[in-house]
Amino acid sequence: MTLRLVLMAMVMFLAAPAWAEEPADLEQTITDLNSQAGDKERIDTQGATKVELSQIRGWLTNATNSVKENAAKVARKFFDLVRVQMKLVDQLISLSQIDAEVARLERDVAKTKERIATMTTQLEEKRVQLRALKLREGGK
Amino acid sequence: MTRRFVALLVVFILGGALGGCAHIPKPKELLDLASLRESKEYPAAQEKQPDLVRQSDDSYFKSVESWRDKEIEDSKYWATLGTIKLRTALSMVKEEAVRQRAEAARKELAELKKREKELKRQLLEADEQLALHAKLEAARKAAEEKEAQLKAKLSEAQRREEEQKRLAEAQTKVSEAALALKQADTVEAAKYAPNEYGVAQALVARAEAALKDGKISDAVATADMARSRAEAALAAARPQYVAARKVAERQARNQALQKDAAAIGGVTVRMKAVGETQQLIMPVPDLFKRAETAPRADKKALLNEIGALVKKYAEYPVIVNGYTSNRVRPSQQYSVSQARAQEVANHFVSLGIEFKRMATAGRGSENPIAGKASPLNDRVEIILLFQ
Repeated sequence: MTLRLVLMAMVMFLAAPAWAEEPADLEQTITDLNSQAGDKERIDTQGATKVELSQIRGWLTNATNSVKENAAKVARKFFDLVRVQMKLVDQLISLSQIDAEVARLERDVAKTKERIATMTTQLEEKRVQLRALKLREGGK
Repeated sequence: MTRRFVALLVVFILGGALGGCAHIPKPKELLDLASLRESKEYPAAQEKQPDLVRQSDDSYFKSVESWRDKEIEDSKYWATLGTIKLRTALSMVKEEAVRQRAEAARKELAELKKREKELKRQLLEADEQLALHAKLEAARKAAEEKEAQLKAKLSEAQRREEEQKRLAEAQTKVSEAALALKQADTVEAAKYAPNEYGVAQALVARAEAALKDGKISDAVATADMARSRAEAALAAARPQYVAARKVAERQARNQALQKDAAAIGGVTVRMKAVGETQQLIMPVPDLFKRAETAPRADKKALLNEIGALVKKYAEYPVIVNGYTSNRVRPSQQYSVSQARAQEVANHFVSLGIEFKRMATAGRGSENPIAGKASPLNDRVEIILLFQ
C-alpha cells in the first residue's frame, strides 16, 4: 500500500510540470514559437514556406485563444503541430536552398557547356587558321 | 398504397438517421493524408525515413480511429500531425535526391570546368601561335616594305646616277662639239666654210641651251649634230686654210728673202716676174778678170754671203747664170760664161748647198748691165725662184 502511494506520488511529481503549466508559461511558449517562426521567415529567402509559416501563425493564434479560454490541453496540441511544422519548415527551407543550389549548378553547367561549345568552335577556327598559315608559310 | 408510402417514409427517415451517424465524412485533413500516403514517393519515404513514416502512420491510424469514434477534431489533429510528418519525410527523401542531383551537377561542373580550363589553355596557346604568326607576318611585311623602299631608293639612286651620267655625257658631247667648233676656228672655218660653220655654231648654242634647261636628250642629239657639222666645217675649211696659210707663209718667206737679200752689200737685188714665178735676181758684177772662169778672190766673201742666203732659203730653186763682157772673144763667151756659172755653183756646193737645187747656164754677153766692154759684165746672176 505504501509502495502504491509512493509510486502515485512519483507519477504526480513527474507529471507536475505539464499539469502545473501556467497560462504565463503557455504565453511564453507562444512568444517563443512566434519568434522562431519569425526566424524561419527571415531564413526562408526563397519564400518556400509561406503557406506553412502562415499555418504556424494561425495555429499560434488558435493556441493564444485556447490559452485565453483556459484550454491548455488544446493549446498544447497546437504547440505540437507548430513544433512538428517547424521541423517541416526547416526541411522545406533546406530543400529550397538545395533546390536553388541545384538550379544554380545546373545553370552553371548549361552556361559552361555553352562556353565550352563556343570555345571549341573558336579553337577549331583558330586551328584551321593556323593550319592555313603554316601551309602558306610552307609555300613561301 | 398509403401503408406502403408510410413504410417507405419510415425506412427513409430511419435510414437517413442511421446513415448520418454511421457515415460521418472523413475530415479533409484525413483525406489529404490518405492521398499523400498514396503518392508514388511514399514507398521511398518508408524505406529512407522509416521512423518519420511510422510516426505518420501512427498519426494516420489515430486519425482514422478518432474519425470512427466521431472525434472529428482529434481526427483532424492526428491527420494534420501525420501529414506534416509524412511531408517532412517526403521532403527529406526529395532533398536526398536533390542533393544527389547537386552532387552530380557539381561533379559535371567540375569536369566541365576542367575541360573549360583545358580549352582556355589551348585557346591561349592557339592565340599565342596566331600572335606569333601575326608578328612574323608583320615582320615579313615590314622587311618587304623596307626592301621595296631600298629598291626604290636604289632605283632612285641609279636613276640619279644615270641622269648624272647622261648629264655628264651630254656635257662631254657639248664640250666636244664646242671643241670641234674651236678646231674649226683654227682653220678659219668661219671664213672658208661659212655655211657649215654657221650651222655648227648655232647647233652648239642650241645644245648648250638645252643642257642648261636640263633637256639632256636634246642636248646630246644637238651636240652630236653640232660636232658633226663642226668637223665637216673643219674638213671643208682645212685645205683652203692650209693653202692660204702656205701662200701667206710663202709670201712672208719671200719678203724675208727679199729683205735678207737687200741687206747684202754690193748686190743690187731686183725682182722679175715670169708668168706665175717670181725671180729674185742678185747680180754679182765684175766677179771675173777678163776671160777667167774662177771668181776673183776679193769677191769670195760676197759669194759666201750670197751662199749663206741661198742655204738659208733651202727650198728655193736656184739658177746661176754666167755672163761675159766683150773682152772675151765671142767664140768663147758662152763656154766661159757657162764655166763661170758652174764655178759659182761648185762654190755653193762647197758651202753645203745641194747641187740638185741649182741649175747653171752660160748666157755669154747677153743682157749687159753696162757698156759691152765693161768688166761689170763679167758677172754671174744668182736667181732664186719662188711663187
